Amino acid sequence: MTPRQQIDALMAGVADQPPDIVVPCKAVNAHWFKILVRWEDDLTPVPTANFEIYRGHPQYAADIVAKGKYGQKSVPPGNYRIFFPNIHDAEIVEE
Amino acid sequence: MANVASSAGDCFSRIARIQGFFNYLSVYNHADNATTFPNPNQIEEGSTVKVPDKQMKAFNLPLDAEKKFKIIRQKTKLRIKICMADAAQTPGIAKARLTIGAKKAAETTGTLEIDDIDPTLTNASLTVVLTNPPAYVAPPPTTAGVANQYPPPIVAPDFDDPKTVWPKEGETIVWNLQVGSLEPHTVIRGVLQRLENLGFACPVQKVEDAPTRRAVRTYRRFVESKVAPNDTDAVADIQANIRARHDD
Repeated sequence: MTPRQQIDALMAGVADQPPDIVVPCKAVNAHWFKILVRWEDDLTPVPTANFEIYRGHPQYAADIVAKGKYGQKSVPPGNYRIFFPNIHDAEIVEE
Repeated sequence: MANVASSAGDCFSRIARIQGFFNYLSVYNHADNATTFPNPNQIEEGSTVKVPDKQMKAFNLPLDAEKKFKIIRQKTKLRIKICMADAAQTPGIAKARLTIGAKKAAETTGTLEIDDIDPTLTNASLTVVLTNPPAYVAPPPTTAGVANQYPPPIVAPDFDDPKTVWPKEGETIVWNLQVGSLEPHTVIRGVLQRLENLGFACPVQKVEDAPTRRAVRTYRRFVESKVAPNDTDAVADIQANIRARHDD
């Protein structure tokens, strides 16, 4: 048999078979985030700053940035929003 | 929006920090503050400062990433310039140290500066050790045989002021500074504060009386050298002059 004939023989009837079972991807629930808050003029870390994090509408976490940094591991997926309640909106920008 | 009545020693940096702002311009640029107060560092006691309400901003917080923020602040600086009363020369300084809160600056020049002070602090300390002024050297005689000249020539010792006091070498002078307490030169108290700062002792108050008029007259004799007998010696007469001499 020529190679062509072998391929044709192997593939004969494949179109009549059900497709392979598709296994869904495992959801990743171990997310993380980090926050870095610095002064705009010299880029040194802000000593402390209060913040609140909301996931969706009802859940939130209130904490304080220490030495400009905050991090959280094992965070469930979702859309998170962060507020700095003690900082005027004209005095904070995203990098 | 809140109205804040200023107290003695207030400036916009201090009011903004007390109200929770990092940049005094967030308060100073609001409404008619800038027009009411031409100089954000000089507020008349009892004035009303308008403080805006804080507005909060929401940011998206992405997962599996680092989110960076920058806070815009305006540092408050304290700068001291040491000069002689006539401002024409700089005294010889062996050592000078400026202290406010936990921050210090030391120099041997006439200018000391501390960057990023806490604007809520109202007191600072200035310590200065002066060097001795150069000894007087008599000029060489220009002509001989003028002993009988009339009127006799005026010589340098004739100008010696026995009341002039110069600190001894190594003597430490300490000033306690009231930071941010200077009021505008357009008000009586502001002018009297400047007189006091320049060494013309007078009561720092909101009304004029005999002691304030004496101080004004003394200042005019010293600075302007043109005091007429019928001058009123009112504070208003020296407002512009003392602002330039004191503030510039």
